[in-house]
Amino acid sequence: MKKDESKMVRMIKNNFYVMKMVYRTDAEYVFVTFLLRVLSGLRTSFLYVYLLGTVLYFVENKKEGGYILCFLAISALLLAAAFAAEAYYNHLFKPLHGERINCRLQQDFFEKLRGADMANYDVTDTYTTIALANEEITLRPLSVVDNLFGGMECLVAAAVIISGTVFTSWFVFGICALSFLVGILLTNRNAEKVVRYDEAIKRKDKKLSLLYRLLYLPDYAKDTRLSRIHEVFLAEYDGVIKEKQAVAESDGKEIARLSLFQKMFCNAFCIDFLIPLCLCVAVLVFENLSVSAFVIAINASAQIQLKLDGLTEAISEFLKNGRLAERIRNIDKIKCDIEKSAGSELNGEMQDISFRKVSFCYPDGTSGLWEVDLRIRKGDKIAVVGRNGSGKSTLIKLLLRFYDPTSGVIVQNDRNIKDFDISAYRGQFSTVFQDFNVYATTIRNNICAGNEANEERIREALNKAGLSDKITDLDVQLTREFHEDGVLFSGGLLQRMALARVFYENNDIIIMDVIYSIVLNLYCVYNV
Amino acid sequence: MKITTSVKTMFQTVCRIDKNSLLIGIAYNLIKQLMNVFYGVYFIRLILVGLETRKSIGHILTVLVVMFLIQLLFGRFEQYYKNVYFPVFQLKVECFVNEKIMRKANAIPYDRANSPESFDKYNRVIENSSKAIMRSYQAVCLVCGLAEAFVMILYYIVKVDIFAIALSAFPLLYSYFLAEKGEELKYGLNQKLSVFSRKKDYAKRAHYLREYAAEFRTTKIGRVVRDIHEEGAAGTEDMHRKEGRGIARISFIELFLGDAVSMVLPLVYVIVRMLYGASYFMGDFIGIAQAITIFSADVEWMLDTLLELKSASLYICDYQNYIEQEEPEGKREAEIDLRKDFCIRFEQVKYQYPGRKEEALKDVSVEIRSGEKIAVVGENGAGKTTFISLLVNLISGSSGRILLNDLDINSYDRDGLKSFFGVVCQDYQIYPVSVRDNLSVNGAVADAKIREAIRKTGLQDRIRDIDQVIGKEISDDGLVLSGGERQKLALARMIANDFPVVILDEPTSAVDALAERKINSIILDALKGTRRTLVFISHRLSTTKLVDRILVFEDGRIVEEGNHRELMEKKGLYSKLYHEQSNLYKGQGI
Repeated sequence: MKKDESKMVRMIKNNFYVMKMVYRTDAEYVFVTFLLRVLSGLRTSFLYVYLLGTVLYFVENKKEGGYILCFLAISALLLAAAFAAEAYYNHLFKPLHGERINCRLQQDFFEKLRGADMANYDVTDTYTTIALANEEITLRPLSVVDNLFGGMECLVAAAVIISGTVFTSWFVFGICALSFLVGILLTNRNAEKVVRYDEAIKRKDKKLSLLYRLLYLPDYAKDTRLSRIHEVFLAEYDGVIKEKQAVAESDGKEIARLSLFQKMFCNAFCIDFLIPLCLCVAVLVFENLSVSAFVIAINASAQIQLKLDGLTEAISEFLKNGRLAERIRNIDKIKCDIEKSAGSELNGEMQDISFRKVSFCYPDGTSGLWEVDLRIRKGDKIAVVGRNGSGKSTLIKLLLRFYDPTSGVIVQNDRNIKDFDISAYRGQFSTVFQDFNVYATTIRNNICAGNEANEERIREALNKAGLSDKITDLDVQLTREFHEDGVLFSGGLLQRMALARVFYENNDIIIMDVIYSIVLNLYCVYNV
Repeated sequence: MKITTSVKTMFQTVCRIDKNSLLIGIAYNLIKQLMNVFYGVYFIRLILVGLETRKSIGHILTVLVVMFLIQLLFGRFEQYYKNVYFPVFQLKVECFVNEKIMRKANAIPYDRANSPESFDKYNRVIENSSKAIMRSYQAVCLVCGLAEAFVMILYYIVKVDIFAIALSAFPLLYSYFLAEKGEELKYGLNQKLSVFSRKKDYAKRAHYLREYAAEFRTTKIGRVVRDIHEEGAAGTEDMHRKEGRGIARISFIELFLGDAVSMVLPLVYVIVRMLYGASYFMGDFIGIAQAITIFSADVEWMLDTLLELKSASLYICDYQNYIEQEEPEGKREAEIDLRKDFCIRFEQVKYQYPGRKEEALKDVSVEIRSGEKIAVVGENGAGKTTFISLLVNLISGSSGRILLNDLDINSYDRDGLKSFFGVVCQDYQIYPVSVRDNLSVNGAVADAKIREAIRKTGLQDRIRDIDQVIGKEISDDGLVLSGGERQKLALARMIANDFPVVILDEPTSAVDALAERKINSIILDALKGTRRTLVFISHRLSTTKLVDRILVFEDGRIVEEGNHRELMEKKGLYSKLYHEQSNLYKGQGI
């Protein structure tokens, strides 16, 4: 029980954590949404309960027809104003502000990721954290705000409607309030069940989507035609669906039982039976109830049912949001020790970099290097040779300070590289990685890579890389990601592109993780 | 036309799965609507008129109790239907429909299947079909329910005041057309937004993928990517600013007409009628106002349902076309005796990929027999992979014949061919199922054989339990294999099954030359001294000395044929390639 409670508290905290994020980014959005939802709560209760009731009240009290028509006209105007506000909010205000908020949050997260240690990408756990947060960051925040205020709208409407029944009779008010409260309590229990059921199904869905993918991806097209693996998978598919059916059936029965109880008590008994009965008794026996009050009460009870349904959804959404918002909170767990470490300026131009008894173990325990001693002097041209998995790439990772050694030190000009400002230190290197990338932007941007663009130097770099005859227009887009007429380069040209980037950067130390040697995998460290 | 055929398909499908499903769905909707109309229109009138005509409290109590009992009965049925029957039925439909699609997809010949359009089509069909059928099923059941509701409400209105009907129809129809216009605008907006959301997604992907992480830390390219995201967001905002106003206007009119006017107008009408002396019971007054409101809501609902039926029918037609597309294959009945020696003969075979100008294979004639060990070499684009694809009947030649034991290879039963050829492709797959299932892709293989194959490939230290699932994707305690280990597992698949022909289509392209040599010798050792045939493609001429015969491809033709010694003596293309590569090894080539 204790554990359940703390979980509940966690859900609530998560929801408000995300809410706060949105508030900090755009307070106006939160205020306007709040006001609009209150307005729309009032609007529904007026439109579906009080409008008819008031007209009846006038008729009962023998008001003039013109007077009543006037009231209707004013109501229509008010409603028009409310609907106009809602329409503009939904189609103009919300998309615009929503987009801005999402963009801010997303870019803050980008910032965080760019400053995260490489280790985060190499450990399954933290990498999953990144992947999940990346998914949720644009999805969850607005959904949390929407849902919280949506729930509030239901509560406002319900409160206005229920309090309206006070005028009819305290007894009716009591029943309405009671059924609503009981409804919420039961709903809460049921919502947890629904969420848990969704969870159980989701795991199975993951497997199913994997099976669908088999036939979707070109990679598998050959294998499925050349072997009987497809039959194996169809059998697997069948099995998973059967499991899903079993879960659906057993959980569905439980959910059905609970909501049957809720519906029978709140709707069938309280609202459709008890309230009409007591109203009739009031009219027939005590003769102290007007027809308009009667109608308001009956309509009110029907609306309360609807609001209760709305609230049911809001609560299960709340729980779901709370669970998923955890993924956003986990962003804080992404480690930034190396990237955000403070350091001093470099101590003059690089003369040498030395590895002194450097050992390194990856976070998952696999060992990378063992007591390596190495000296790289200015102007050296060094080749690193070895079998797959012998530690070549680990060496490069340590040299670039993607990781710090487990033991031993790396020094530049006799000072530990940990003392230097990380971007100043890395700024000395230009690197072509084995899996280097081209970006879906212009050739110019691809070569400058975020550095200031200098037309002349770009030409020079292209020339050195042997691309000057291939590339004339620097504004051409690479890849067809966004543009139909984007350029696709062959592998060889792409490699030269990567070289041009290195030449443009014109740094002291060049590291090349060379893939086009067909003899052995080589790492070359060139010092220029 | 379209709708009727699609509804027919839906009928057939759901009836195949559960004969009573339609009956149950319709019954549910009939009762549900009956309750709706009763409580919305008749109930309040019943009670009010009862009150006004001073019926006894016992009379009213009886009505209430009876209704309560009916609700109790229906409630059970409703909850069961909504929470148990429907979700399970939905799964059954999903299973039935998707299996049909998947079987069909795998029966489409490789060259036709291997195109972006074909994969997109598959993806669309598998994504939408079962959902569309369920939507159509629900819509049809709902239409029955709504039709019943119409009859009940109209009966009431006609009895009380026939003119009232006209009132609700006008604003509703108007708002219906507006809604359609609004949908069009929204659809257009979404289309225009897609390029911007692609930009945003791109930036998201680049920040998340591991291969970009290193460059983001060594260069300032991250800023460029962030700018791409900014562009996407700003573009999206611009579009909303431009288009949002129009959509908002339409949505306002639609809401106002549909919700406010349809509520207020009936009241105005009744008041006006009363002013001109019509006398209603109070119950009738409210009954008529509510009847009109509910009627208009139901009309809106009905129109929505019909739209839904229409949109579902588009997807159902897609599904129908997909599973009914004809298979271009003739009858394949010939069987292969896997134990007997065989002979495969290519007779002047040519092949041209669809949409390409030049033939990928030009006039190839060659013979392959039991027990031979053959290497296929040549530069990129020389036709090696096309040759292999033809050999294993993945594609069929555009001219010439391929004969297996003197019978056209296209006349053999597909399943038989699957047991005849064992292939490890360039992009071979290891599946997220158990080791056992990964190795016995051609039907059950004895455990002893599986273990032996694992031992021969040197994986016995890594794989202790052959029931362990591979990969973390599905199972948390799954076995994670490195690239090299996955290759070995793919080889173990070849060793464990008794394929008469084993083909390796460069599964080793990603590893270095030493590792390739090792892999090729594992398979050569395993097949040594058997009547099983091995054909492998290689870029690197490191294992070619060990085979009986080398086929050298150039420009879609076999230009040289023979063993290593013969070809070296010939001093042709093979010896040229060989020398170039061995020079590289000596370190002169870079």
